[in-house]
Amino acid sequence: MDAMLADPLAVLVLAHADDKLLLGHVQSDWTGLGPLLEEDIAASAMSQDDLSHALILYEFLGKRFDLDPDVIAFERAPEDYACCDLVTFPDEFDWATSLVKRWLVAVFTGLGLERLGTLDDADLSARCDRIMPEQRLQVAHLGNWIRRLGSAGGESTARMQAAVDRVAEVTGTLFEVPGHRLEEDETYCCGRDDLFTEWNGIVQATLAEAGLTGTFTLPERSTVGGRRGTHAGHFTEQLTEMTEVRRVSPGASW
Amino acid sequence: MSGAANPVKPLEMTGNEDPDKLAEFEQRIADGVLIEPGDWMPQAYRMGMLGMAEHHANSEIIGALPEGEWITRAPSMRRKLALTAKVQDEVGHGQMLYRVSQELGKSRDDMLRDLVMGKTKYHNCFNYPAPTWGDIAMIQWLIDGAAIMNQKTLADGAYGPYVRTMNRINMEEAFHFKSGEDMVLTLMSGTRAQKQMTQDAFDRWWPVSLMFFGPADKPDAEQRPAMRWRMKVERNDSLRQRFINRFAPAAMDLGLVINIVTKDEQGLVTSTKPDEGLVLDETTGNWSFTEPDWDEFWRVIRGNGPCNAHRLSLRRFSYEQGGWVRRAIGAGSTSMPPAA
Amino acid sequence: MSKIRERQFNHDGELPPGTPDTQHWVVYTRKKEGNPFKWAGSLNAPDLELAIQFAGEHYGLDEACIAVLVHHADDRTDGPCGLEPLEPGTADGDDGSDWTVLVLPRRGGNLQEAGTIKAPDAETAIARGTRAHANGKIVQVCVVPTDRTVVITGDHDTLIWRLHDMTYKFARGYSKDVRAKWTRIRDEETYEDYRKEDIHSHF
Ligand SMILES: [Fe+2]
Ligand SMILES: [Fe+2]
Repeated sequence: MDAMLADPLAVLVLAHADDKLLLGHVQSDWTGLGPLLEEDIAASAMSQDDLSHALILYEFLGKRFDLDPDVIAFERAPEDYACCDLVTFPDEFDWATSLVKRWLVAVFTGLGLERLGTLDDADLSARCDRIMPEQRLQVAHLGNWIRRLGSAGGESTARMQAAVDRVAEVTGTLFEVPGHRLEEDETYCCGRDDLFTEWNGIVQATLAEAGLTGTFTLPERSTVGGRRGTHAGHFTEQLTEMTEVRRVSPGASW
Repeated sequence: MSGAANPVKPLEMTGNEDPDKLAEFEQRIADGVLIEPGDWMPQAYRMGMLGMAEHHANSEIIGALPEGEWITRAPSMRRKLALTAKVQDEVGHGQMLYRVSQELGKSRDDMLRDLVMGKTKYHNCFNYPAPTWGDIAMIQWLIDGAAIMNQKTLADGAYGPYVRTMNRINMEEAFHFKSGEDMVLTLMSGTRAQKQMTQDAFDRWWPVSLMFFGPADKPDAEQRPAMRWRMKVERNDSLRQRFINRFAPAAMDLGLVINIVTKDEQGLVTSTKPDEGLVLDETTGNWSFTEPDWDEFWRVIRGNGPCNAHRLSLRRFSYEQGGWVRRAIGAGSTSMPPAA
Repeated sequence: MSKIRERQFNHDGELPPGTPDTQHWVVYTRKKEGNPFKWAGSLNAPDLELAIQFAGEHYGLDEACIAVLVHHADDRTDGPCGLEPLEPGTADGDDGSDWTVLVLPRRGGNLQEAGTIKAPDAETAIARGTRAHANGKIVQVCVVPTDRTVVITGDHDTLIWRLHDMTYKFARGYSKDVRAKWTRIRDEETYEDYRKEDIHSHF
């Protein structure tokens, strides 16, 4: 575990994997409670995709560092998780917040995994290739809803705008640099400005079509937040919930 | 998960159906012919099928709630994925069964509103709590197992649209059961804490499973419309006997003790004693058993079970919370496929 | 459990006004190359775009499939459903536009795609479809104007079936596990009986 946490590439992979895990974890909780049955089913399929993608990445790390993917997913100390504060931001079962948050993350992950896939590791590239088509499907489906509900007018537009406003402040956390060692590492950290510019371009174009506005800022490289293990309070609650059953009998098979 | 084994309102003929058409309809059913939507059918049959499909659909989406509580706590990636997919399947079953009901003339929105306002019912078993992960294993093993037995017989019914939907649904119920069986086996092969958790959950769900198929039918059930019209094809008692014959020996082999229990108002077990009435009759191959507490069954079905209020209020919250999305898309375009 | 799920709600008063049902769409899936589209189910969606997405994310993921066909329920015209298998009849001619022909093999069965014919209107399409496809093995012919059907295939732009491991959804790989766990408890013979019984009489 320590070897994995000290490895710069592993930390970068963990940032995406943990985003996927926590996003899938929080979003799957909506299963059965969505605003219409048809979208409930579609949204749950996306949660399953997110959890599956997390698993694909944990399996990569598991192979490399000889660890059980479930142990990586469930048994790290809270400060060893590299997800950002946006994915764990509580939506309070407000569909607009859930949707906006999920979409902002999905666009980011799509661009991030594209870059991750170009690093010099055949296994990792193959895994990113497997995830990408599903990621594009997600971005398309979510973007469609953003445009639809944003441009519907009245109550719908107001709720969507409120949701963007609600998450705007934590959205920059997506771009925090995970792991202290990566801060100065040009191989892994380079292109963060480009990534933000590209992401913001896509996001702003869709928001404009939806008749919504949002301003997002790129945090300093040195920012210490969720990606470096300093998580907002709700993360610990979510992690505690996630590991509740496993802790009944540590080490048991489930 | 399944619904239709609970009593549906008794069907009564309205008395003003064309006697020739009615006789022809009944003859067809007696001949084993399935009814398709374009066929003539008595109004009571149409209303009966609507009530049955709607009750079943309600049960699917309410049934998604107790298990939904455990998605965020599932103990491994694979279990988390499987449980999310399972609950999603149940929502899908609800969606398909609401469609069957919509085609019989009631709008989806009216059905959802009637459900959350308590005007229509859903399967009684979802009014019980699922306080541990062991309950999730038991629900998928016992309740999905019971649902398959029941729904297999419903797939032998006479109404075409319900039958084809049931066949599709049953394929997925088999996955649920298999994964439930695997969970129970894993827990009962595990640590002492896991075994205890499983026995406790079994104590909660075994009596609920016995009640799952509903109380005994009237002696003349075969002459009454529900069975005469093949809306249901097997007596509740006979389904229950098959269930016990299948699951009692399996439970005992797993090391579970089959108890008679008393429960408090929260549905939690307050006392247990082994069911001495559980004996295998070697000649018939049937296991005898102590009847579950039918007074409790009626109390719960009338709305006074441990979780009735909570299940309905969470569904109502979901209905109200999502209203703005439905209003927004409802006001949108209704464009048809583009001309090629 | 999550905060919302354990919350005690205090609802009172009436529900907010309801919404009318959105459009009704019918969905068929093709399991593998060369197989016909078969009825999968139906759904509600306000327009074609969402209908396609919902169809793929529900019916397209229920079983492995390579393509999904969607049409508006009103665009299908159903011929009479026979008590006996249909006779082909004598309708001929090949004028008009394309109609997709769907046939019901038996009452309570699933509609499946049989082919395309040309006809000037639905009634003629049903008669010609019956002529072409009634072989004593079907009880009903239904037709949809082909240009009112939409087919999506699972290539990279419109992914349907997923690339990640989907076995979790189908309890696949469990049989071996379950057998191993059971036979630690029960002897092979008891287990075999139980398993066979599962397949034949119960499940
Ligand atoms: Fe089920
Ligand atoms: Fe179900």
